[in-house]
Amino acid sequence: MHDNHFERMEAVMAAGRAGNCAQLEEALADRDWRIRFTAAVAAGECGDEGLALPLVALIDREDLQPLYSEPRMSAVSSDAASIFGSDLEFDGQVTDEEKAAWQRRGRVKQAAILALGELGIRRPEVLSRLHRDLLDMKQDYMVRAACAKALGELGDRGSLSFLQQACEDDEFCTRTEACKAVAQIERMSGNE
Amino acid sequence: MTPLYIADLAALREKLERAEGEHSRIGRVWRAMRKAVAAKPFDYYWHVPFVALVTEDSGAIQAAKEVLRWYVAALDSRQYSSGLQFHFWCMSFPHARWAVYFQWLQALGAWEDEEAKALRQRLLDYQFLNFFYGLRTKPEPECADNQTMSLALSNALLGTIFEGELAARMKVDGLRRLPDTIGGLRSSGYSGEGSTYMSHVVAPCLPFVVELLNQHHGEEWFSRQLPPEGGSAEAICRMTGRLFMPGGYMLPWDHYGYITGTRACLAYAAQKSGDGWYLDLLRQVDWSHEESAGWGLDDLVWSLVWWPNEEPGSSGRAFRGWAEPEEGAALVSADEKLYLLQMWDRSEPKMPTRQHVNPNALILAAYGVPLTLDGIPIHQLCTVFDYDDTWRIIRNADFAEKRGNFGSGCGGAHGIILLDGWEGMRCGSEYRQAELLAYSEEEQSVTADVTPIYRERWPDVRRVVRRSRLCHDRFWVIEDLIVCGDVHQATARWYLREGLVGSERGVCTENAEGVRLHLVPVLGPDEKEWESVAGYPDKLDGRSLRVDFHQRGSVCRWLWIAWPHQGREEIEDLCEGWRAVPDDTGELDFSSAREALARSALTLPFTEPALLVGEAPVARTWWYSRCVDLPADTEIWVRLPADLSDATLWVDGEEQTLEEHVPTMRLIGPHVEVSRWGGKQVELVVRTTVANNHRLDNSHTMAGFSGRPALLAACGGGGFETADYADGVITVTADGRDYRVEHTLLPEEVEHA
Repeated sequence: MHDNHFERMEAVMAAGRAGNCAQLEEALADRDWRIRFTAAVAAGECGDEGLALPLVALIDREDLQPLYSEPRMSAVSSDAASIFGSDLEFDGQVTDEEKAAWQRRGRVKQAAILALGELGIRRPEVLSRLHRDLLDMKQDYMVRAACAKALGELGDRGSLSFLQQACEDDEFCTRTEACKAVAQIERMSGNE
Repeated sequence: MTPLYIADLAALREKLERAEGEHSRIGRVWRAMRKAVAAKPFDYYWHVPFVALVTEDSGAIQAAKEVLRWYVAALDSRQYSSGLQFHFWCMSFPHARWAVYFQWLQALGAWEDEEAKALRQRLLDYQFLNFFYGLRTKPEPECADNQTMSLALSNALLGTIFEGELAARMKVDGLRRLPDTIGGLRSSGYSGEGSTYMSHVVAPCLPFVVELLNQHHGEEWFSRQLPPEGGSAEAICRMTGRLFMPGGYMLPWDHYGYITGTRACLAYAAQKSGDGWYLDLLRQVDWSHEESAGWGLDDLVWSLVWWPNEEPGSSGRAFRGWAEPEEGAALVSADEKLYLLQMWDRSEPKMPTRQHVNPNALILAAYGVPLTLDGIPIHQLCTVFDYDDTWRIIRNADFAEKRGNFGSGCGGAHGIILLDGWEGMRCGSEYRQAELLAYSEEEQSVTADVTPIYRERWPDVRRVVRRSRLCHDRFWVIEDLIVCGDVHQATARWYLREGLVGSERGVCTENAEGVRLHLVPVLGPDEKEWESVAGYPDKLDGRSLRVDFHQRGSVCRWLWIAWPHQGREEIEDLCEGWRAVPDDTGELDFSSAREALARSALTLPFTEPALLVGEAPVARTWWYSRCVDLPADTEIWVRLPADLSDATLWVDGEEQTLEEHVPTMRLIGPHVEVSRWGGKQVELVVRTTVANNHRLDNSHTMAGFSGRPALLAACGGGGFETADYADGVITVTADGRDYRVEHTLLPEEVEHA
């Protein structure tokens, strides 16, 4: 049992490299978002299709969290703070869950979405979530861009209309990944 | 353990010791840095690890360890900051350097194992959770900019410094992407984002990238041209150097406008290339304060690290002409006093923000000061660029929507040819926007065709060409040709320094430094209008004079004479012999400071902060005084160094506000008129803040000053009289003589080889 989050992150990454899917699946549901993030990164690289549904479940659980709501906080001065920034005091109403949500914003979702693309599984429940988040302007652009990239890797022609809309996204990374994905799917279709 | 990036610590120590003994530029910087850290280590915290490494002084080592502890401790609260969430790349490059500084202390054996482990873990997981994530956001290989370079570097660097699963994973992505961040820039080395991002992020980052690639691959990457665009580290360094103008500041190309620049990358380029030009350039730039380099304050540290052990010989001049087919060309007079840049680099289609629409725009400078302006407006003051067709909805990272206008990146905000009054001029799609037709260093001439960007909107446009020439090393000839199938209104727009002076032909301005520019069309109509634009640009005077010349036709042509005239001459050098008094607590008033100055045995040059030029204590505020005899019956000015902070001048005991010289004096030494004291000996007293304090709550983080104070007097006679063009010859009468220039007009039809 590891109680140090860094060592647990290391262990999860090692599990991914070793193809230990059971450990990764467990880590994808960990209470600590840092472990979940690491597990999602590792999941994409371990290549086990069995991780697709746990990754989808992870995305769904993330969607229930207040990822993009900045908690109320104020700065506290100190000698060290004048060098590297203020210490913080949170409003008494702010829960640990809200703090952790703001810390990670779209990080865990991005990692899960990229992993789904890397695993290459064109399941309807995967595609539907990626299509939805790709065009959801209430998602961080890091999440939208990851959706575009993953959809390009999945190569489903049914994604084209969504991606073509995303090619008009104001944000550069999303627009670029979407246009690349369209070209990638067209190319893959041509080769089939 | 070898300290990262310092292969030979003994050689570095020897280089610095030798330089200090010789009182060379880097010797003086090193001495000042060492003294400042010894006196106030936590005020100069960006310099502490380097001083600790080089000196192995126990106090410096303890201070450096404490600073590292504070840095790591602050990461927890930083995780909540909007800055980290929305601009993570700005934190990644500094994070990489603090990891390097941690490693330096480790190389000194300064850490206990347990503490080192805890710090290492925190540095690593912060990197993984924020900047590994951040790097994966950036499309590969399309994103080749300052942000991606910073992110790729930090991943590669922490992955190299540390061991473990996370480190190994970050190293793979970081190292893989580093070559693209160089090769993704154009072969000219220009990033397209302007001097600020070139000099303050890309250039400082570059040596770290190259050295890491060298170390990892065991071969030299500095000169290698890389895919996909053919960029190379050497070309980036060269272009960074070219962005400096005579006067020591940087071009206002594309975004942000005139600025001072960083030095470390040029020192690195001198070491790697053996080209003495980089050091020639570094002798002309401001070393008086830290510059923001990669969102940190350690440019001076890395300047000392990268400075060559054996200095290459001088190239003979710091500023010289150049041409890059994709970007622009510069013409520089032999005495380096006249400077012209003609630019035609790619602009960003649809919504130009950083890569501005500037087809064939000109930057003119003479006698060390700019004559034309470019940059960005102060949005609260300046709404002239809020064109009707350049509004957009901006969606912030917090998903709030607001209206924004990108007009300041469009054609109307630049000194270019406008057609039919379309100020929101921009590209709608990606295509080659311009072509260099001819450049000759020998003939001091450049011609570029920018037709495509006009033809997109007006398909009948056949040619839009500008040719610039530097003639007799004394003035410029500029020709504009617009050839269309239909009749259009052409506007030649100029943004000049304020100071309109009466003129029978064309326009004449005299700027705050007394340099005049006569801009006279010797061919083409002199029909014009002008407007003072408050708040544009945000640098220099904070305002500009916009002059529009108009003509209508299917063929429109102007032939301009641009004649600069230096209206003031130096009559006495005032660099040396200033009595000086430190006032660290700022408790002295004018009266008590004057008494202290009278008693002071400390005499210093007033050219750079005291710590850089003499035996002086570390102090925030300084008082200087010296007496000067002012000649009678002429206009006279005192020129002070540039970039004085919170400065006040007293002449003969009378306080002179320098308010009107802000913000110009950030880059150019202010000229303060003292004519009314003519015929007297007066005492000049200056108070200024020079604290080089790195703390976040200090408004003088980068305070310093640099320049050569002097007494100036109005030049008698000379200047521009007339100019004409006839029978293929331009004749200019000025400075009491005639100048003759043969000039064949640009052909209306495209020349085919």
